Amino acid sequence: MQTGNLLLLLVVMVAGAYYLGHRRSYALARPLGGIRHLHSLPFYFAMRSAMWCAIPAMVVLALWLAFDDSIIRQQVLASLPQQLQPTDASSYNLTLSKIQNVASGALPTSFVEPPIAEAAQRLQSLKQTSAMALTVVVIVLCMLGGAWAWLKVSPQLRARQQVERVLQTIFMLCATVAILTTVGIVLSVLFESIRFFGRVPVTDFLFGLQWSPQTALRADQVASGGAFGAVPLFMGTLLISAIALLVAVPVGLMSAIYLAEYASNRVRTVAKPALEVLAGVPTVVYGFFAALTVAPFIRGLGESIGLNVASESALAAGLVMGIMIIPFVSSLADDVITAVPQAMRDGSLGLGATKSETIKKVIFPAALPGIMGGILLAASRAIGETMIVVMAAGLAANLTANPLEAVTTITVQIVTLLTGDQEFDSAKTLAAFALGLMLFITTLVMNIFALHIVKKYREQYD
Amino acid sequence: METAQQLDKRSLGNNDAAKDKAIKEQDTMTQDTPYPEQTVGSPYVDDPKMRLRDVEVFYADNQAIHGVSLDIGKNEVVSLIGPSGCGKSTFLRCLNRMNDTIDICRVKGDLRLEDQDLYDPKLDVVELRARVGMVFQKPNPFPKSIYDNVAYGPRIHGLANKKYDLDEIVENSLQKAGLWNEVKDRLHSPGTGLSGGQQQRLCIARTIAVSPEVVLMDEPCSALDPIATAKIEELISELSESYTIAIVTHSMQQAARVSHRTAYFHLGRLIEMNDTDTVFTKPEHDLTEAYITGRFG
Repeated sequence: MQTGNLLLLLVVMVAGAYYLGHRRSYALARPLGGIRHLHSLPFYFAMRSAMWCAIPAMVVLALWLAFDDSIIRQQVLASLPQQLQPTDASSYNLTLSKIQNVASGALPTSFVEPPIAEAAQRLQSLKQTSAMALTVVVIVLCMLGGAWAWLKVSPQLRARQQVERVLQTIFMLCATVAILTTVGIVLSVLFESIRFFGRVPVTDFLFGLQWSPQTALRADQVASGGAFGAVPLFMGTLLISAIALLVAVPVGLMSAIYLAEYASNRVRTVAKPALEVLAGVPTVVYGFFAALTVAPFIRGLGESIGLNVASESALAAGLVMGIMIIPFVSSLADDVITAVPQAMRDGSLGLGATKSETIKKVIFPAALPGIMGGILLAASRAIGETMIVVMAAGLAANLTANPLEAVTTITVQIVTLLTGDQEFDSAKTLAAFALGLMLFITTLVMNIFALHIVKKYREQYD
Repeated sequence: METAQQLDKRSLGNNDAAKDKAIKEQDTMTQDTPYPEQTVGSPYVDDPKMRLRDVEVFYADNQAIHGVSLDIGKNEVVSLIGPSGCGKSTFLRCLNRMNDTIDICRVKGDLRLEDQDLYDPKLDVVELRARVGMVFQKPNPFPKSIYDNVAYGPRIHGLANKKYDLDEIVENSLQKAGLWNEVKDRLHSPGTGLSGGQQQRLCIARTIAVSPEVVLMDEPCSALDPIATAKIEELISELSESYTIAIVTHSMQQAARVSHRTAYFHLGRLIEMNDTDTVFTKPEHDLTEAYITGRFG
């Protein structure tokens, strides 16, 4: 049976187990005088039955699906005669794909050696057996689990506690998935970065002022030796992010204050979602808006007052990015400002403070943690943003603080390093991982720093 | 809520039969007692600090206060009592225009602080609130230090030019509020770290730091234990030497202990107002008597 169908069947069986558990708990409760004589509500007995039915079967199913492919593969390869046994990784893959192609019918048997054809047949039959066995095992486990739970239902059974404990474990596992993923990403980036630093010294990378990652792929190619100084990229990132935050923080904060404190309910219900739509516009749309509208406008403006502005400038990218991240600041700040208790406002107004004094001296300090959270979120969006910069700020790694020149950022360089046909063992592609690691560390440090600031200046109300 | 609305609509139309019927629905304890045509007792005094005439308050279409007229004399403690929802707090909040913060609230009538019309469109509400301070039901110190809490008002009104002056105002106010000895060693620790009673006295200190003429107190002791309550009551008696005080309270003993005159509110109307002793010993109106003897409320 196919896995999809098997899952469907599993769902039906679990529902059945739930129903039977429910029925049985009621049946047991009736002679005792109602469900209040049971230790737990019938729902918990039913849930317990459903869990016994589902969880063992699901675990076996998951493990089976995770490992059956590699086990079958090994079995098939082991059955090959000695001279056809693969010796290294590439020939291993080649042989395997040959067998698989024959098995799926894409490659006629006449094109391959007879042992390969045999192996293909073997692969086919093993797969069939495996699927059959899986179906049987899962169904049997399901029934056994369900029956066991059904038999155990009794008025004294502590079903509620057991169900709660299982749920707690499931929640914990879900949280673990997120954490493990993060750890996995960090580790993989870290190891690739270490490989990179094996080729390019760390100091060159961190303090070098030249970024030109083009290296020769083959020995006969004419190319530069490559320079991996990340400083221009960091500068570019910081420059664009700073411009973006300069736009987004004041505008976002003030619009949040307007929405939370001054706007009438009617304005608020329209304006807040409208502002949040800004966050929903795809960044590529912002990108061509920046490249086709804002950048030429800035260049024209610069020329009219005699400035030399590049057609792709940090200013254009930063301004548009600033617009994009306004909702991150405004929406979060608006929420925390609204959450400051009315008693604080009353206290201040009752002393004769004006509305703006109240906002400045009471509400803003009380809402500071949330506001910082919003700004941080906006900053990490700005640092991580790629599309707008690709389209509006260019690829030239200039080391400059002049917002009217073209700059490039870390994320843009990662994109250009990894797109197209690449080999993943050259310094050029590995540099992307090192850049990613740096980016990760930067945002991490920024977060820690901001948390520290918030802790120090927060005014806690209760 | 619905019956209250019906009541309001009918009473606006001056339909006596409907009014009586609505009262029956509202309050079976007092079903035979009609409202007085006019407030009984003596709501007016000579040379009042605040002169309030025909005050009506609406929340959207819902009338909360019906033609209340009374005076608050100089250096007098007036207590406003009555069952929950009778409009005492709403009325109190008109006196320094805190009701302005509620969008749907409208106030009608002639309200004066000495000669100043409170609802004069040209009036600066900031200045009014500096003259008429307010202490709220739940202690609401700002999440700042004790010093900054008290200095908040003087700072925004520019009452102190030098640090020295400000220190003096803070010390004086805390002393008047009877809190100085308890907090003088930790003026720079957060005000939210104090106990409930101390927080409320801090709020009183914060209010008197701007030297108001009138202090409004909206159930200032309802969130406090008996000991803290006793301290605040003592404080109110002391403060009445230099301030005019209007206090809303649910405790009749408290009203009897601290106030000179007492006003009894019932469903948005001022039923009776008189010397506190008279109200509690010889109430003139049946509704007042029913309330103070504990037949409802």
